[in-house]
Amino acid sequence: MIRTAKDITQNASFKTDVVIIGSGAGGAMLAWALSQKGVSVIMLEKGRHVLSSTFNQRELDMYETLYAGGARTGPSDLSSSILFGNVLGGSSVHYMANSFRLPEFKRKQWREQHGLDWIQDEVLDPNYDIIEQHLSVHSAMESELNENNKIIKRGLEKMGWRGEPARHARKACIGAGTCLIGCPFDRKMSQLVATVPDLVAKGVPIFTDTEVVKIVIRGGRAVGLEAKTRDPETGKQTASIRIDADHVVLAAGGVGSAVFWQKSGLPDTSGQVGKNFQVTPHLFVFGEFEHDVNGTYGTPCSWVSHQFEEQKGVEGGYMMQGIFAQPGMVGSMMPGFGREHRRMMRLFTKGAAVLSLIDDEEPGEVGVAGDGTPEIRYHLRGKDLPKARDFLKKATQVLLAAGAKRVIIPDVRITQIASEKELDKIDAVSLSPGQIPFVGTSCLGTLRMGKDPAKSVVGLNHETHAVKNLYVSDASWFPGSSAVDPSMTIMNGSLRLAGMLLNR
Amino acid sequence: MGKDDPSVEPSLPGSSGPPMKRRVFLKRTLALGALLSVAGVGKHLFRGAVWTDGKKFKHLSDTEAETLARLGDVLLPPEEGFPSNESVNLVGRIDEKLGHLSEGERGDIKSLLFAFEYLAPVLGPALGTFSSLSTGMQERYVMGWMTSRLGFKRMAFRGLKQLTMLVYYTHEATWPAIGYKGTWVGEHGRGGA
Repeated sequence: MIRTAKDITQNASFKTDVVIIGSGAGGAMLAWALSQKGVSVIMLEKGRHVLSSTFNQRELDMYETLYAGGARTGPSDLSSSILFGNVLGGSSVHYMANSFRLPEFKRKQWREQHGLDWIQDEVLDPNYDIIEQHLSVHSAMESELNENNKIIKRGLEKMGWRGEPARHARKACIGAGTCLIGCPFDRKMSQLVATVPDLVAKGVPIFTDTEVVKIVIRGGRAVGLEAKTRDPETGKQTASIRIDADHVVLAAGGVGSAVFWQKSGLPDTSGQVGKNFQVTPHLFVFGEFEHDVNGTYGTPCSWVSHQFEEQKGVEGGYMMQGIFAQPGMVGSMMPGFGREHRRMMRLFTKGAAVLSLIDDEEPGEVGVAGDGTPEIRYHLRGKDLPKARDFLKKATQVLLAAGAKRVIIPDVRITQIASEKELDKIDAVSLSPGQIPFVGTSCLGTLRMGKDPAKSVVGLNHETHAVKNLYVSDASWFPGSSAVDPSMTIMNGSLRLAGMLLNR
Repeated sequence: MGKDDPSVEPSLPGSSGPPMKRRVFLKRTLALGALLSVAGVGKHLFRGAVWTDGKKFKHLSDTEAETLARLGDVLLPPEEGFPSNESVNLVGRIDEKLGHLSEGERGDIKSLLFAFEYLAPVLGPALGTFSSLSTGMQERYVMGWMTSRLGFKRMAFRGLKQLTMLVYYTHEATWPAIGYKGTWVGEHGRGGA
């Protein structure tokens, strides 16, 4: 059953085997796996329960409804946007549904550089199989490619670079193209659509509008939590909740979990809480075509390239995928202002865009501002700059090869490239903060996993070093970027944790 | 020395190196704004946009609304086929959006508007607050923020521009001009999770 603030008007206490804070990919999947085995679970969500039938596909409404901070969250200096969810189902409600297994080079890196020796094919792949089945993950069909993605496919082929249909979690996608603002047709297998109904059927109590304020610790062990339920309209508290549990799991996301840790006064014994923040930055380049592309419709990100996923020498360190968005998002990302900006917006139907997922290495940080909101510090810098620049070049080449009349780099100088001969213009593009827009959607690393309690927050079994019986089941535990959309690996960790808890 | 070398950027707030905390960013921005206000337009410091000086809107003061309206005129000037900023209620809808932000975030935007308005006398092309400049001077001033070597000015510009463009282009009256035909709600049935 799902209980909202309207249902929870009196203080209450509960007892359960496992209480989970957060309902996104990490929390919902853990609840699903445990409830399948008869374990008593309660799942808490700070945000609202929003029916997908109310997703009206209007950008401003949906940004306010689905995203933390109305999609205005970002580094404190406004240099970029960091997007994550704030509803039942978490970020999966507005994610792009791309579903990739952790690449081989990352598995090796996580084992060898970060000491996560459990990152083995025989551990990961059986769990990936379960997740793929649960979410109907499959390779995008040719019929699902919109013109934006066909352009990317054509450009990659002409360049002789690897490209392939995206693995995605959609069922009979009708191509509305509004994944970023929620699918009202229930074709995207978000946790809200794919998992929450199973939890309800199993009788798992789900409390929304419920913010955990404190983990109850006794003798160094988490034994429960205290939460407050608030009316989402007024912000007024409607009830206090106390939950006693054998195990407490933090799954509030790469930003949310770190903020909660700091606000609630949990001990930061390693000094690493909130550190190591990474976002796999999304930069984009925009190609102008003679014909109508209408990239805003159809299945987004349906054709991808892993050609440059791993950095080799001066090349690579990013994924490429085809994407477009609705007018508000496009207008806010397009460079310049005034008549020049208007001219570019007039190309809305004739544009195709290529998006990066940069395998970032330079960490940011998540803290807590005075008003309790996330205080994010993140810049594209250092080792990540050559990757970003190489992406701008390769994506430009892809669009030119596919027949673009010109390619627009959205830096403040509005760099425009009409042929391969002009590629060196990209060398002059400044990537300093505020010079070129980017978005981060894969928030991770803030409660890093590792063997050494002096250098990490979470142990190899997902249990925190500082507090026994307190676990982490979201991308906070990642030791670094996953180089691809992290959702499959978040869920993989949740299934592994479920197995461990079942054996306790 | 390539562009990726941080040393090509000046060592000024927000231009390179580790990102700043929000309070540091705003303090530096506001400190400059306040100093310059005292230097050039002292009386405005006390009539400033971070204080309430009228209430046509729920969250924006009249001064803040005026700054936003003039900024909107520069970012989105009148052009055939596009609806005017007034007809899409640009400032009023930004005011509504501010209502969804936390008090701290709302305060940040208001502080930025204050700095934007009152940094004009010294860093701008002519004496006077931003709103009082001629259209041509306002364009030069906005361009100066967008392309500034000072990181905090570029980033502040980005924040204000992003908000303005987002609110303008989410209004359906703007869509015919860019060829967008809207979403598919109602055409394929609806879900119900």
